Formats: sequence, structure tokens, C-alpha cells
Amino acid sequence: MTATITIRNLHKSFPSREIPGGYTSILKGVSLDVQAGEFICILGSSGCGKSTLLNILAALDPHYDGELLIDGKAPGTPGIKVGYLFQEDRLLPWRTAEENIDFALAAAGAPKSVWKERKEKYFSIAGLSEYRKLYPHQLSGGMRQRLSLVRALAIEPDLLLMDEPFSSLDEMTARRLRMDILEIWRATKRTIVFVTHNSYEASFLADRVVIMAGGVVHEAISVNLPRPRDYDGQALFDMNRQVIARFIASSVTASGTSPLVAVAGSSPNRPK
Amino acid sequence: MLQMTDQNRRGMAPPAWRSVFQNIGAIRIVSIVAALVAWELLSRIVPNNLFPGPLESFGALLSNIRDGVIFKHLALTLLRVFSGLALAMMIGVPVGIVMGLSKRAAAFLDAWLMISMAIPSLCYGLICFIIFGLNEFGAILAIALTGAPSITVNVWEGVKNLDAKLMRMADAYQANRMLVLRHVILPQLAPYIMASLRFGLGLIWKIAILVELLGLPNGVGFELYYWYQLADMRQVLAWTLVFTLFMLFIEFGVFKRLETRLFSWRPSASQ
Repeated sequence: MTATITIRNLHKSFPSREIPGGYTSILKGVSLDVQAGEFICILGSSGCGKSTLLNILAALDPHYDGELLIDGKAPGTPGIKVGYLFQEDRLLPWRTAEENIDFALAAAGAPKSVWKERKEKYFSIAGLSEYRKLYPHQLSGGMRQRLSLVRALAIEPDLLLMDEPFSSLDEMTARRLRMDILEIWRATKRTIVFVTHNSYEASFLADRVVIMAGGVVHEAISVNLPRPRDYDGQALFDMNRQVIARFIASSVTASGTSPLVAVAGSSPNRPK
Repeated sequence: MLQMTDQNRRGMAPPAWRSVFQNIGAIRIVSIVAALVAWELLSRIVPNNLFPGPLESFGALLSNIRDGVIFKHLALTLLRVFSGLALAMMIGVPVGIVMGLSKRAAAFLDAWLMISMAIPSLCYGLICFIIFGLNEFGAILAIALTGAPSITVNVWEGVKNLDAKLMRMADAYQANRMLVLRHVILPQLAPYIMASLRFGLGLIWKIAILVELLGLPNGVGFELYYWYQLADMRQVLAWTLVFTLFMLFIEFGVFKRLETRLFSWRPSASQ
């Protein structure tokens, strides 16, 4: 299954560090629709609220105002499976590659009868079949991130969330992994929400680049380049220029409403 | 000529006497031999045979083994030590986990912890014997109360250092509490629990001997006191040797092996 996402007027604030008893508003009315099987890149600078949005989607943060539905249901509803790729691999260092996948399968409640087949399938897609018995520290950084991709895929998620997953890898490794992600996406057609601050990466990967600044979605730019895309081609280069121009324009608009403006005494978010 | 020698040596194996000091195992053996030699020299310096040397002491130890007296006392002491350690872990580990997870619990229990660590172990022994009488229960309780606080400190430290990022990962994959405990929390606490076991045992051995000396009619501590009253230095050293050797056996025969097995995933532990 692959999921649709509906976000309407999403607000999120945190207790303020500067003003005791006050609240800092991070998300200020985010609205967005994501179609089933769509590859969305959320582009924004640090502090714009993109990671906060991802955490709410992953049900890591149940406190927010507004509406957010995955296939018509609130995040964290049993039955909605979310694969999460973090900036770091976040593998369990005391478990082998295979046992790390077992952990995710057990957590997702996948029946034991399918474990073997799932692992064989996704280890082979990621090209890690020979490394199943190794511990994470015995793998390279790129392989570890690939393994955490196997972990995200093995639970056969409705939705794949990725939080700058390649930003800590060297450029050549990151390039290969971007190609792999696209190949896996083409084969499995999962909905992907990919957060990045790299506009070139966003233009290369996404169906739509969603520009976030100052806690709101400014616009969603459709990338109408045919796939497979050439990472070094002129078309992508031009697209990137266009995305950057509009990103800068929206940042200027947003600068009047800095996300760090604290509102004393405004109400905190209630749990859903 | 002299200047040449170093040049000529380049790339060659060091001489035999030097290679001894490049082998870690050899260094350990040399160190033990040196300790025995120092002991022997000391025994010759101390007048009137007040301090017997290693040969005499090991001789006394061997004759005790041949008599069979050693086994009963050693077994009783070990029983007290390990029951005390088990009880100390049962108190220390949960308290440490609670203190690590809740700031309020830590604020409340911190003072208790400091007080219980400040009380001399001898006082635990005296208090327990007065309340419960000169029996096994009092002895084991006194031993456990002495060991528990340092175990708590270790485990508390371990819980404070739990990796929040891995916990988020487990949450994102919707792992239930049992899975998180087994695969995320306990493996991170294992080194701290291991350290607290070792540290606790080191502490508990000593207090166990003291408690036996204080109020029990058997055990290694009782034997030590008995021979001390007779001013028999040979036997005092022989009984000291018994539990020191056993302690070393537990450290190297049990803990080191357990550690290698538990932490085989770590890059350094396997080397």
C-alpha cells in the first residue's frame, strides 16, 4: 500500500527558551497534499520547521493543532506503517545487519513467516546480501545508510520519511544512493517525503519541491523533467536555478515572520 | 663503530631480551614473578620470622587443602559473597534505572545514596547483627547494603547516557516496550552493569570477610581472626592467599570471558 497525505493548517509550538512560560511557534499553518506514490522533497533552511513536520508525520510528536491525515487517519494509528531514514544511520551497533532488520520487522509486527523473504528481497535490492552477518561498525558509512534503507523498506511501509539522509555522506556515495533511492521508488512506488536543504538534490529526486520558510509552505514547484534524470545535465541545472530563485524569493517574504518570534502566554499544543 | 650499530640494526628484529618486553603476556608473567621476589625479600628483612615468605605461605595453604578444612570455609564465604552480591544487584540496578529515568526520583534519592555510601561498611555489619542477631541473614543483608549504592551509581550513569537518537529510531518504528528494553536499552546498560558487578564484587569480598570476623563461627574471615589471635602469621597469609587467588580466578576466568562474549560486537573488545 502507498499512502496519501493531507495536511491542513498545521500549527506547532514549543515552550520558549527565551521567555519563561512563553511559546515559540515553529509551524504556523502548514497546508499540503501529497498523492499516493508521489516523491516530495521539502526544501528549507535549518529552523524552518521541516524536521518538526517529519516528526509529526512519523507520530514521534503527538502534540499539534490542525489536521494531518495519512490515508485519512491520524499518524500513529495502528496499521499505518512508516519507514524512517535518519540523517545518521541509527543502527543498533550491538546487532548484526540482519538482526537490525529483524528488529524493525518485529517492531512493525510483520509475521515471522515473511521475515526471510523480505530480508532476502531488500538486502539484494540494496546490494548488501553478502554483508548480512556483519556488525554496523564493519560497514562503510554508505553501506550503513544503505542498511538503514533496507530497514525502512523491509517493513513495507505505506510512507517513507527521509530526513537529510545523505548529508553526512561524501558526495560520490551520496550520488549513488540517490540513484538507488530513485530505482527503489520506481520499483515499489511508495510515497516518499524527503527533507533536504540541498536544492540540487531536491530537483533531481522530486516530483514536486515544496519550499518551506518561516513555518509555512510557500509553494510547491512541479519538476516536470522526464525520468531517469541526468544528474549533470543542463535541464536539471536550469531547474535548480529556478528552484533556488524561488526559494530565495520566499525566504525574503518569510524574513518578516521569523520562526523564532516568541509569543508570551499563547496556548500550548494539546495532545491529539 | 658505535654510530654504525644503530644504522645496521634498522629493519632487523630486536635482540631476544628486548622482545620479552614487547610481549604483553610475558610482561604480566615477569610482573608476577617480581611480586613474589619482593615478598620473599621482605620476609627476609622482617626479623624473627614474623613475616613468612611465599614458599612457607603456599606450603600452609597446601596443607590446609590436604586437610580439607579450606573447602567448608571457602564455600560458606562464597555463598555469603554471592548471595550478598545478588541482593545488592536486586536493590542497586532498579534504583539506578529509576534514578536515570526520572529527574524527580533522582533528586529525592540522591541524598539517600550519598548517605548510604558515607556509612562505613563496618557499621552496616554492627547494625544488622544487633537487629537480626549473629546469623546468615544479618550477614548477607549487611554485605548487600554495603554493595548496593555503588551499583546504583554505575547503573544510574548508564541510564543517563542512553542514546536518545536510538530511542527515537525505536519510536519511529513503533517498537513496543519489551523490544526497546531488550534490543535498545539493555545492550547499552550491559557495560555499566558489568562494571558494577566487578566493582560490587571487589567491595563485597572485603566486607564479607569483615562481617565473618565480626560475628560468625565460620568462613574465611572467621579463620583469619582465629589465626590472628594465635599470632600464626603463616596461616593468616595462607587464608589471605586463598581468597585472593579465588578473586583473581573470578576476574580472569569468569568476568573477562563474559565480557569478551557480551561485547563481541565492539571493535575493541575482540582485540
